[in-house]
Amino acid sequence: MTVRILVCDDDAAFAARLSRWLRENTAREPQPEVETCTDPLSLTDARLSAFDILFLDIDMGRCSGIELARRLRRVQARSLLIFVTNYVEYSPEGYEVGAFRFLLKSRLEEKLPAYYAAALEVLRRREAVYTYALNGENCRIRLGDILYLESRGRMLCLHTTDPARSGQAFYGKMEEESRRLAESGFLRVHKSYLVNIAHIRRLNHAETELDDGTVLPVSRRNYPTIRTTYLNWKCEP
Amino acid sequence: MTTAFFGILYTVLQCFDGVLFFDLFLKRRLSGQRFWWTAAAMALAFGALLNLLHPRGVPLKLAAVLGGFWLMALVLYRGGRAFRLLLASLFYALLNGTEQLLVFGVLGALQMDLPALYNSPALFQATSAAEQFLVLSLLLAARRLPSLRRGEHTDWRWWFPGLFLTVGSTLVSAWLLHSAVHGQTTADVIVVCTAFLICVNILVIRINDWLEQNARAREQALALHEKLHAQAESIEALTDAYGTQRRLTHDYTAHLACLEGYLSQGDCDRARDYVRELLRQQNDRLLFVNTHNAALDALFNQKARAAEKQGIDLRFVVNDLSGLKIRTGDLAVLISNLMDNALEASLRLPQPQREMEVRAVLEDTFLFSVRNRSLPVQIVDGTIPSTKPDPSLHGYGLANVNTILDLYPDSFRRMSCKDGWFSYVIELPNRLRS
Repeated sequence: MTVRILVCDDDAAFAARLSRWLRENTAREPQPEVETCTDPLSLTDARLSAFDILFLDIDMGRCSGIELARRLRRVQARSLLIFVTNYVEYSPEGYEVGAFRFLLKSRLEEKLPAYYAAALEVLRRREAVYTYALNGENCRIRLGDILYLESRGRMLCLHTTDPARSGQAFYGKMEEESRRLAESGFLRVHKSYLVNIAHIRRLNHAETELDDGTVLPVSRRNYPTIRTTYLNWKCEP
Repeated sequence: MTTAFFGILYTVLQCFDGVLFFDLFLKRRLSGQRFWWTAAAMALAFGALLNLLHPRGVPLKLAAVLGGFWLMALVLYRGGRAFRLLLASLFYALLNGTEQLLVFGVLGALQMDLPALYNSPALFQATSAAEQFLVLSLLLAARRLPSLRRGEHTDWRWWFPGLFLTVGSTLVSAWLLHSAVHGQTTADVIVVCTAFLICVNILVIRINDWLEQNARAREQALALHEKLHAQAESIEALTDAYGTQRRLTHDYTAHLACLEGYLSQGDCDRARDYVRELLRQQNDRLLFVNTHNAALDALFNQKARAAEKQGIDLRFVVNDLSGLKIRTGDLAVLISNLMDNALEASLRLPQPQREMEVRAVLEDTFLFSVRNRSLPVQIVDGTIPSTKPDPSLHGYGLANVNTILDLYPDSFRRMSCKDGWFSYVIELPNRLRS
């Protein structure tokens, strides 16, 4: 596995220092592939979205790191954003773009190892795959791409962000899958539905709405437990 | 056969009395019909065992009956084991006392002896029925006493000394019965002594209850003091923020005057140096969090400064909180207490491991969570047992948080400790409480 990293800072000296640290001090596995950029305006949306971890300076004169992050989020939500700054101010903008960490330039060497390790951990979790047998063939899909699993008699139906794979049905038991995926952020909102919490847009005592607009029923009897699990997950990094 | 039937019926009725008695102090484990079916099954099994096996000798019988009531309390109710044992023995003492009082009252009034009563089934059953009626009446009257209805909130530690008195009175009662059976004492003496022992046991309940009420009042006073402290802290944070703002405004005017002076003299180099120096000074962090809610920002910034001084890596995840409708006073208590607890817990770790994350996000509801790296924490029934030498100084933080959350019926709270992280998550509806 290779981790693609972008370091974007108009301060060329600092960008070089950060890139060097990433190349020299990170473990071999996963191998980091670091790109340095000192001109944020030269970054296209396609190029931005190719990275797994982006170190963005907040204050870059003509283009702020927050603006870059907004552009990135319009294209994809998977990459981790670490804002590099002289002066950290936690604000609604950071939440809006899903900032992973804010790194003070003055404490780079002190904080970077822990932040980088935490970022790798999140990436590893996101790369986890789900396996299932379809017509005698073993299939794999990234957990993050699953919206929800639906129970239909003895079959389980897969609903995913990828329309080509959505609707695939295979033999399986909801109870077993529910237990297997509990630690991976899946929540049994109803006896027939096992939902990926990462894709929940809204949850109340009657129904839950997913990112793609699907609305599913919620078990009233188990609602307190469902809500608590959902909140716990939301508050984890 | 008839004797066994009446014996089992009598024990089942006593178990029903036991349920009424335990209900006064404890919270049931099961609800609705499941509770009553389990209680009935236990009562029948207990009655059958007691009357069919028929334990010989007073000590064995005493232990069997007491054990039966304790088992009922253990299976049917929540609470500390020792407290449930105390309640079982208290119930048995009252039950036994009432039985002796009635039996020996009847014997005294009719000038009979014990064997004669046992040989008169009608009179014996009438006495038993009267005893049941009296116990049931007392228990139903006791249910109307609001001060006893605490459920799971009863703190058994306040009741524990009473256990010795209760067990003592039960043993004296058994000894009196033994004396009466062997003709060593008269019915009058037994009636007087038993009445006295019943009064002692009722007093045990009342005095302990009174002690507990006083202790709770003291705890509430301390909790209120802590709440005031949290709110005072919030006011202090706002005052500090206002003071800083004033100082900055004053400095800003002075800096502009200085720059204007340099530039009017055409001394651009000194003006540039001056600006660089100002930028360097700006790295002394004044504002860590900006949620567009002045009161919460002041509080967050105050805690962030404290965390920075203690070498704690504190991160915030916040959005625009300007639309919060929840009372600021309530939020100050929640935020202040939870963050203080996390800061304090972080200090128990070596500096490189001190890490905290605070999340305050307003969407359909207000979600607030505090996570911190922590040593393992034992969570029992939603609380953390105190590890401090003086328990009266601990626990008000979480007690205050719970008090505030109880005012919001739709709120959620969850405390957990997993993988070296302690977290407290709360969710509140975004509205003023009634």
